[in-house]
Amino acid sequence: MQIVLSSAGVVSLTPAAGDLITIDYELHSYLGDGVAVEVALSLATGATAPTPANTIAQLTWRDTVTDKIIYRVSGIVGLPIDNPKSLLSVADATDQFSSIEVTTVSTGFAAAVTGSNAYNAPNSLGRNKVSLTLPDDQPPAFNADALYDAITLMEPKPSYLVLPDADDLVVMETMQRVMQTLNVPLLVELDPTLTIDQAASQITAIDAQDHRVVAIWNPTLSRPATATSLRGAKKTRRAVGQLVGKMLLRNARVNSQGIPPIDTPVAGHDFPFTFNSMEMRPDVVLNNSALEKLATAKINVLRRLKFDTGVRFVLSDVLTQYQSENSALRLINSMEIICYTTNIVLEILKRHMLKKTTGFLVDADRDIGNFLSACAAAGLLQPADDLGGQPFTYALTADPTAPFERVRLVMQRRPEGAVRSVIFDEDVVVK
Amino acid sequence: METTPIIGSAVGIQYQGITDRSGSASAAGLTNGLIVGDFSRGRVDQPMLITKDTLVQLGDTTKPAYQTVADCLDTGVPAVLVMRVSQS
Repeated sequence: MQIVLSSAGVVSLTPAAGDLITIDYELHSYLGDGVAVEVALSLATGATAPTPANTIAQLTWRDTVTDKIIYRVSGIVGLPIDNPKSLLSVADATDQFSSIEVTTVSTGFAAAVTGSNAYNAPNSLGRNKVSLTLPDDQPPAFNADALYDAITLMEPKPSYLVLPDADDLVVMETMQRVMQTLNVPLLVELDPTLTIDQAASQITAIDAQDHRVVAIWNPTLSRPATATSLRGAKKTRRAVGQLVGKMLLRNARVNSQGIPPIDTPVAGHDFPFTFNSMEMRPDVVLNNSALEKLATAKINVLRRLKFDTGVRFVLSDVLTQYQSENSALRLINSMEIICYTTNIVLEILKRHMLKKTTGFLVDADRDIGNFLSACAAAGLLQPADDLGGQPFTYALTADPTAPFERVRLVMQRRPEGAVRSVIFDEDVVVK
Repeated sequence: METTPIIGSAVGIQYQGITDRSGSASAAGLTNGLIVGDFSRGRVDQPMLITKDTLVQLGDTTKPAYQTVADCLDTGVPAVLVMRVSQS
């Protein structure tokens, strides 16, 4: 895209021979439609006659619907990028431009700038600007491998992958590949306008079968975030944003040893959802058979529940998509603990790799032991009979087949669970 | 007397600087959420770090993915990572 100032003082997006200022830029971002760029020219302090070395261009990309500023850069047009006052230097520092070049021509510069509608003379109010509507700017076609590479190579590594829209199967499959590589939970949300049968059949059709995939569904109505009236119609909406926000806030509350309280599932009474004016969708009746159907499909439904403390809208289950009736991996908090401990132990192993063997065995053993002990002390791991009453066991030894370069880690641990069902037997007795 | 990294025959002290062993094993945090979705604006080659101030960089406020990011930030999370995908 090129923004030019012609010799007649006209600011436009159409380059021509004889332009006095040419700003040729390309953004990393594809802006879509509804964006205008505003151009304002002014002079550096103390200057009286415009030259390329003292003329400041301010470029503002603005959303024409909300009038909000998307990007703004301002600097002297004729200075090189080495000069911190230059437009090039300011634009480059934003990291938003994949390229930007500014070309100026001195001959006739002063007359063209002062004659432009975008020019603000010294001591003027500084409100002159020219607004140019940008053409529609759409990204290239979806590329699954590019998405996979962008996420798996990103830093910092994400702790959660969130997919607000599970409808796009190609994206969903790519995200499952990413999840396998990064070993982190993938939270997906089903379309909130579906019926119970549709929701169940959709997630069954996706058939993720993985303990790291969590499906949620929000069949509630609430006032949209953009509502301007209390009388407006209530709408369905996605809930996974608020869910992941609650999870990140919970994870930030680490104990003194740096262990996040991921043994506490973000569900039920203690984590109510707070969209404005919530109510259940009138066409969704969550009776016993509907709830059984949703639980069979392992969908965590956000619904209205009446507690002794009052009514709350909560996530009413903690199931992952793991195909098992009683494994620990079918519970969200157990799954999070397993992923977390595995990933940290992998990091410890990586950190000590390429040390001498005995040093590796001592250092990695110590760090893994300390880490798992800290997890057990924080309540993430619980004592298990199979482990002799210990919450974890591990053994780090040199591999007998390649004792010079390979070691072997065998680790077992028992994660914390979450109560999904209660069996309540009671009797009445006479005496 | 000289202080030198490799001592020879001369009188001196061999000293090669400090070796830092003070860094303790630190468990990485779990506070990076990555929201992947269809937005009307933004780059598609890399994730973006979005805060309340830069939400406008995601464009159309009615898209479900945009609302998800806004909801996440509304809970008090200072910033969230966002990956835009083109429509497949």
